[in-house]
Order: sequence, then C-alpha cells, then structure tokens
Amino acid sequence: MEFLSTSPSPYFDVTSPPFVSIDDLDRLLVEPSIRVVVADVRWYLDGRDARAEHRAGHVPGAVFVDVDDDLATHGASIDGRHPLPSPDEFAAAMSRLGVSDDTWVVAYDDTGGMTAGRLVVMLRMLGCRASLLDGGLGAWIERHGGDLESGDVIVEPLHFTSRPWPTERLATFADLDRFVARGDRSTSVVLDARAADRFRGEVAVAADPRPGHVPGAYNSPWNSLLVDRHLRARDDLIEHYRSLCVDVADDVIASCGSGVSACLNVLAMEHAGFRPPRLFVASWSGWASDPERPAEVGESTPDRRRFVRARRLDVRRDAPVGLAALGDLRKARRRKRLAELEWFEALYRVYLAAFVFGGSFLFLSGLVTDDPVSITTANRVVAEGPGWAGAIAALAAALGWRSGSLGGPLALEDADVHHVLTAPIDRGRALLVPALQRLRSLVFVGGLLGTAVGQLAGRRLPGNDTVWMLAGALFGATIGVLYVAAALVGHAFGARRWLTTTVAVALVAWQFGSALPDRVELVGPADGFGGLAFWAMRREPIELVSVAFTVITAIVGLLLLRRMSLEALSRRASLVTQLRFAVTLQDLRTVMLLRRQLSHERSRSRPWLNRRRGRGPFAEWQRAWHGILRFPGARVVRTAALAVIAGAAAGGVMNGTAPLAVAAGFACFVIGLELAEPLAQEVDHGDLTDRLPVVRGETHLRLLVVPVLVSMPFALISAVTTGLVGDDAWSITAIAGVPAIVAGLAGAAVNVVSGAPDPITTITRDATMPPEVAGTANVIKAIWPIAVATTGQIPMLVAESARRNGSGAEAAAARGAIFSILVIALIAAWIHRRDAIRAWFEQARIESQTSRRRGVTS
Amino acid sequence: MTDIALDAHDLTKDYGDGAALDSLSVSIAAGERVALIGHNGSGKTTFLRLAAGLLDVTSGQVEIFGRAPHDLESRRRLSYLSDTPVFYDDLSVWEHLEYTSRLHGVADWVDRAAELLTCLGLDDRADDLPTRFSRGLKQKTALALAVVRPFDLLMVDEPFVGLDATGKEVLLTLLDEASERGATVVVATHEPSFLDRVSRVIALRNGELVHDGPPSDASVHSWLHSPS
Repeated sequence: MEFLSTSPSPYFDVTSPPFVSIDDLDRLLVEPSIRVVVADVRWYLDGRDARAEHRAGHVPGAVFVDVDDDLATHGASIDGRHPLPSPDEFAAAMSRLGVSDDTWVVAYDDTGGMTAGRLVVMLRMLGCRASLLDGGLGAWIERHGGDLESGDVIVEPLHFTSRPWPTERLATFADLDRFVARGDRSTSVVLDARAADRFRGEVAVAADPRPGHVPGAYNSPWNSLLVDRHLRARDDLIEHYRSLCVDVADDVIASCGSGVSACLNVLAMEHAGFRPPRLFVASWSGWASDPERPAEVGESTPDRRRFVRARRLDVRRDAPVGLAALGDLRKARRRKRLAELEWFEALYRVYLAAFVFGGSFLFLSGLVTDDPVSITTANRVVAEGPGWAGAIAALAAALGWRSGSLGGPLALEDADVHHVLTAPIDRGRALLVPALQRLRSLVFVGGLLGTAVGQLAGRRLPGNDTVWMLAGALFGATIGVLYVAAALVGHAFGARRWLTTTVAVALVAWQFGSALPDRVELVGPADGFGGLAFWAMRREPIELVSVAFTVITAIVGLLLLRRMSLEALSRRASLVTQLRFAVTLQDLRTVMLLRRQLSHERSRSRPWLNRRRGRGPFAEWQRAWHGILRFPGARVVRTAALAVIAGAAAGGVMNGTAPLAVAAGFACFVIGLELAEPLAQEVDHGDLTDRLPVVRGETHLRLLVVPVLVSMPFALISAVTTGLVGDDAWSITAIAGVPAIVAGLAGAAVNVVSGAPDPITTITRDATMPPEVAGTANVIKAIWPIAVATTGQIPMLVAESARRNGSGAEAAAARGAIFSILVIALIAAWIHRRDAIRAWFEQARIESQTSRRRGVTS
Repeated sequence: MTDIALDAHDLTKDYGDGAALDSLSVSIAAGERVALIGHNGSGKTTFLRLAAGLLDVTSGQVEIFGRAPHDLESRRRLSYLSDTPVFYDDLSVWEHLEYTSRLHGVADWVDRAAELLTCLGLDDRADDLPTRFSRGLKQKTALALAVVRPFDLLMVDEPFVGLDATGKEVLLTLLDEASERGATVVVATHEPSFLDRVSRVIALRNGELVHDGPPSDASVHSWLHSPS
C-alpha cells in the first residue's frame, strides 16, 4: 500500500508512515487485515473544552484522547506542563481506548497536527504503528461532508503492553545544559516549535513561566510546517530544515512550550527524510520554571559556519606557521598514514621482499663455489677489478647526472609541488627531508647489495671475509650516494639533455676504456671508487678521497635544492609513482612508456617523411606508418644502439659464450617493443578497436606488418655488428640476422597483446589466487615474451655448436632459422586467433563446471 | 615597492615542438582587473604557469612585483588557481585549508576557512577527500584554497568551467572582494560575460599577443568568437 510518506520508517521500529492522507485513511479503514483506531486528540491552549468539542462532532468511531490525562501526568513544575505519563499509566490509557499492541492508530486534531502529533510520536517511540492524519478533521469534513458523529464513543478495552520510554528518543535537562554551555561550539540544534512571537519573548503567555527561549535554540514554529492545515511539500520541508542547519548538526532536539507541538517537528523531519529529533518533553515550561536556567529573547539566526567551526575544537590556535608548520603537518600526515596502515599487508610485503632477496642471494651463493681462486686469478682481480668496479661508479654517476637533467632524483607528490613549493617557505629546507630520504634509501640498498657481493667475493678471493663485506658495504653505499648527488647537482644546474648525455657517455666510455684488460695503464676517472671494493686485498688510503668527493658532492647537491625546477618535479611526480607500480607488476611495456615520458620523449608533430594519403593495402598499414614516421630521433638512435648491442651479444655467442644469447634476445625484445608502438597504441585504446567491425586479432596482426619492414635496417645493423664481433660469423649472421630481430618483435607483440583487457574471461583470476601463485603467474607472464624473443638466437646457438662439433655451421643455422620462423608464425597465428581460442577454452571450462555441478546434484 | 604586479618581457616557452608562448611582453599594473582570452592552445595557461613559477622559462623573463616567480616574496604575494587542481590523496578539504593557510603563515585561519566553506556550499563536505570530488566540487575546493591565504595578485585559470550557477556567483563575488581590497586579478577565461567586469582584456593567439586594451573595444568579441 502506498502512503503519503515513507513506510516503513527507517528510524522508528514501526511499519507505518508518520503521516497518512485522507485517501490513505479511507483505504486503511476498509482493509480487513489491519485493525485501525482513529483518535481525536484535540486540545486547546485557550481553555476550550476539547472533550465537549469531541462530543459535539467527531470522525465516526474516533476515540477521544485527552492530552492532559492520557498523554501526560502531573509532576513538578520543572517537569513542564505535560510530562510523559508512566509506562503503566500510558498502557492503561491505551487499553481503555481500545488500542492494542498491533493496532494502527491514526490521530487527528483540528489544527493539522499540533496536538495529535504527541500521541503519534509517543506510540512510534514504543514501536507501535501510528500516523498523523494530514489535514486533520478538516480533511475528513472536506472528503466526507459534515457527516460527523456526536456523543461519546464507547470501545471495548484491549491489552496494551506497558513498555518503558526509550531514553535515546528523549532529551534531558543535562543535554540542554550542555548545549547552552557549549554555546557557539555546540554541534547540536534545538528546535523550538512555539509561535515566533512567543519564541522571541515578545508576548506574555500564561503558559510560559517567563518570556524567551533556550539560549541558542532556533525557531521552527509548528504552524510554519503547514499550509491550510496540510503538511507542506516535502521539498519545502527539506529546504526549511536545511535553513535551520539540521543537515549539518550532529544532534537535533525538539522543544516547544510543553512537549506537545514539538512532536510535529519530530514527525515532519522524519517525513522530510531527516533523522527525527529527540523530544525534550519538559520544554520551555519546565526549563523556564527554574530561575537559575538562562533565557534568551529576540531573534535567533541560524549560522551554518558555527557547525564547521565547532567541529574543529582541536585546532591549535598557537600552531606554528610557515616552515615550522611543514614539519608539524608532515608528522601529522605520517601519523595518519600509519594509523590507516594495513599492518598485515605491510608485514607480508616485508616477508616477500626478504624472501625474494634471500632467495636470490642463496641462488647466487650456489653459483659461487667455496674454492679459492688461483694466485694468477687473484692477481688479475686486484689489477683489473678496481677498473671494472669503477665502471659501475661511473655508470651510477652518469645515470644520476642524466636523471637530474630529466627532473630526478626526487619523486614528490604532485600536490607537494603545487602546495608546498609555491608557498613562501624556503624551498631548500622544504626539499631537504625528501632528499635525505632518497639518500638514505639508496645508501641502504647500495650497502646491502655491496655487503652481499662482498660476502660472495670473500669466499673465493684472499682476504678477511668481514673486510670484504665492510668494503662491499662502503662501496655500495658510496655508489648510492654518488647517484643521488650527481642527480641533485645535475638537476640544479639544469644542463641541456644533449650535453648531459654526451658528458655521461664520455665518462662511462673513458672508465670502460681504462678497464679493458689491454689498457690497465690508462687511469680511469672512477678507479678510486672501484678500489674501495677491494680493500680486503689491497688498501690505498688515497681512495678515501672518492668517498670525500661523493659526500661533498651530496652536500653541494643538498645546498642547491632550492634551484630545483617545479616543472620537472611536477612532470616526474605522477610518472614515478606509476613507474614503480609498473615495475612491481613486471609490466615492461608500461615501464618503457613511462621512461619515455620521464625523458620528455614525445612523438614528432611532423613526420620524417610525408607519405601520400590513402595509399596502402589496408588502413592499419597507413596507421602504422603514421606512427612510426613520427618516432623521435632519440628513439631511432636508441633502437640502433640496441641493434648494435644485440649484434655484439650474438657475436659473443658465436665466440662461444652461449649465455649471451639471453642478452641478445632481450635486446631484440626491447627493439621489438620500440617498433611495435603502433600495435601498443591500439591496445592502449582498446575501446576504439572494439568498436571496429573487424576481429581484434586481425587488426593487431596487420599493425605488425610495417614494424616488420621497418625492423630490417636494424636487422642489418645487428648482423653487421655480429659479423664484426664474431669469429668467422658473416655467413651465419646472413642467415640468422633477420629471424633474430623478427623474433624480438614477436616477443614484444606477445607482451603488448597480453596487456590488453580480456573480454573473454569474466572472473578476475588474480583476485582469487593466493599471492604466491599470482606472483608466479605475473613472473611467467613477464618472462615468456622474452623467451619467445630469445628463440631468435637459436640459429646462432646451433651454428656455434655445429662448428664446435665439426659439422656444417651454415646448414645448422638454416635449420635453426626455420625453427625460429615456425615460432614466429605460431605467434602470428596466436595473435590472430587469440580471442577465438580463449573463448573456446572458457566455454569448455563453463561446460565442465556445469556438468560437474549436475553430477553433484544428481 | 613597484606598481607593476606582473611584468613579462620577451617571454618565450617552447615545449620542444614550437613555441607555446612567443616573445610575449606585457605589464599588468597593481590593482588591475584583467581578462586573458584566447582559443584553446593560444598560450593562456602557459603564460599563467610561467608567471606562477610552475614552468621553466625558455627565454625572456617574468616578474611578480619586481621579483622572479620563485622568489619568496613573489610566492607570498601571488595566488594561482590552476585549471587542473591538484590535491593530496589523504587530506580532507578542511585539512587542505589548514595546510595551505599555515604554510602561508596564517595562524588565524579557522574563521576565514569556515566562512569560505559556507559560502561555497562545502560546509557539509569539509571532512571529505577532495580527490574523490566531481570536477565542480574540486574547482570550489581549489578556489577556497586560493583565497584562504593572503595575496596581492590572484591568477585564475578557466575558473568557470565545471561550476554550477551558485558556484559562478560565489566566484564572481570572491573576485570582486579581491579587487575591492586592492588585489590584482587576472582571469584566463572563455566566459564572455566576465569581460563586462574587467578593465582590460589581453588576447593571445598561437602564443602571441594579438590584443591588449579595454573590453569595450569591438575587436575583443571578435577575438573571442573568431576561428582559431
């Protein structure tokens, strides 16, 4: 049954709405399953006899409820004029009036609810069904004419269970005292339902012990809720109560003269969707009878700001400002984050990190035997080791310097850039904490790795184990600081990128050059750093200068912090967070994309060549060319450099170092990732692809045609490098060069396509897997594209093996190349039919599950 | 003390694919109320961000009250409301207001903050995280942050976008209040109605200054409506 207002009540434990219309009442009265009692609750402040009015004419069958005798008791003056009767008294009155526990009482008066609301609120508080008749007696007369019943209505008494008044629905003097005492700091609202002039204390009414209202109360006159004795529209009521701040208050208390008309506010607020206020039964008649309690006269204007302010009582007015505030606020944020930290998850992460690090360490330990090396080897290590270790230092300095020119090494929150660094506080000091944190973390990681490597070295090389570990720790920590220091200085000086790259490459080349076995007499710039790692075998105190140099550079970097570029910091802010996340997920394609963004590497606005529009066998052909011809110069150079690395590694394979095949495969894979950009773009915007009237795999495969063509020059570079580096490798590389690069592209395509959203599988498997399984699945997902790329090196491996065995290397290379081409063809077919294959598997899975369930039920 | 609030001289910004702002020279006197207009990509945001020190200048220079944008004094006197406000993930509206106020040296900020929240209709959202807000609510929060602290120059980028009618009304009132107490106000906007409330209009096109004069000038509306 639909009613004028919500049913059941979300606030009271009753299934009746607070208001019913005359239509609702008419329907209720003919509903056989509901026992309805209509109650006449007329009462007059001017002394008229309500019972006489009832006898003169009332809604047929309506029982008369006496506000003074049935709904109130007679107590002390401080309890007000209408204190609640005892539960037993009320139960007795209801029983006498023929109201049982399951009766639905519909109450009315001739004002629109000023007095009848009291009965409805009292019954609803006890969990009984009760509603107020909207429009009251007037509504009945309007609907049914003046056909009223006269005389007394005699009903058969029924049982009504006595129940205590629920204290949570009632406000006490203590609540009001607290409200008054808190004044502007209170977050409660007290609504007074008396007429405005009584509220303001402008008229003397015999019912009021003295003029005025509870200090701080707002006026919500009962008659302001009605229009022609009918309840105002719901939206009007919402607006009315919002203007009285009930929506921002923590607690609302309804008051009036003696706890009667206030009930209309209780019901109207519930009807408007607000939580009903607590009733202050004693109201003004009780409050004002105590001369000690304060009173206020005049208007009371609601002030929403009061509530916002009052909730901030904990604000320290003497809190520090400016730079001092920064530390204060950072600490507060840290406390908040710690409080919200999921400790179990954090500990689990620590456990995983320890597990991975410990596992790797044990694995490496397994590779290193405990047999000491020969004297000759030890001498070679002492002679050449510092140069190679120095190369690590040179690389760290070069990478740090370059990172600085690209906005590193700090990774702030973008909000910090916009709020802290634009504030009038010393930027150098504001950035000191993040800079020191960065230094600290790299010192820790560098020191830890150095210690681990030192421990491994100490097992085979002469010298004390502890010194090996300490020297390793010192070397690692120095390298960590050197990286950050170089980045800080590089950032502060804002050197141009080409200059930074040139200096970095020169530095690294010099150090590597000096480290080559035939060039030991050439002093490298970072030899001093490298020497630190070998202090267990040889000690050169002069090498401590490199530590001092690093520390001084770091101090200079910290002093230059205020010169940092907000543009670079802001660009880096969001990217670094994403980059870390991508690394965590082993998402190589995203890592690459973000690295490009960090380096500010963007597609050219004008392509290298202007192709004539509309040419080509299919649209994807055209699209791929558009993308590739906009590759920035840096990407082309990088891809060529990768081709050289891939070729050199393949040459190493031909020279007998088989593990280099993995390096060559990985380089080809990265080349593939660079060239497969058109496909990657399509995958990144999968919603566009899905709108095309073409099978997704078809589009993906076609987008690889141009990259394959474009990879040919890089295959040539790689092949030439292999020919130059490898012993007698020209004929082999002629056979194996192209499959190697194309296999790299195939691996990259697998990686890119696997990142596409899966429209086939409806369940999120990762969410249902235990972390160890999900983690392993992630690792496999990351590794298998590289494995595909590495199959391109099989021709080299089998050719080298055949040559060692004295059989035909070229024939073996050709057989290997055929195998590689088969793998590439399989990958192409997989990309094309991927969705169909997955759909088939999914269907099979669902069918097998369904049949298993059937098996269980039968 | 200089009378020039914002002074750009030969200001150029190149993101790597052509100049987004090309040798722009413009001076805005203290107390002026200026509208910065131009089509998308005309360089308005770049200009404001350069002046706010959020972007590095490629060549030329820009000064705020005679000092470089990164200078402490410039930061004290300039308030910039970005078209893409940035908030902390873990701070509520109220906490942002506290953070900003105190960083700007305002100890007695509570009343001002409460007043701003009330007039922006955010008083019942004070404890919510602005990162989860709709665009309009974010804009209102950013507006409160921009004006809760003292400033002499207020630069606002596309403030009307995403605001409802009440929000626009409050924004205009806040801009009026800022002007009345002597602050310089620069607003980058596409809102033609705002032009009636400024004393000067600067129009940019493809990074170059194409108009600088009073809003009554007939060419202003043609710049606003002409194809880019």
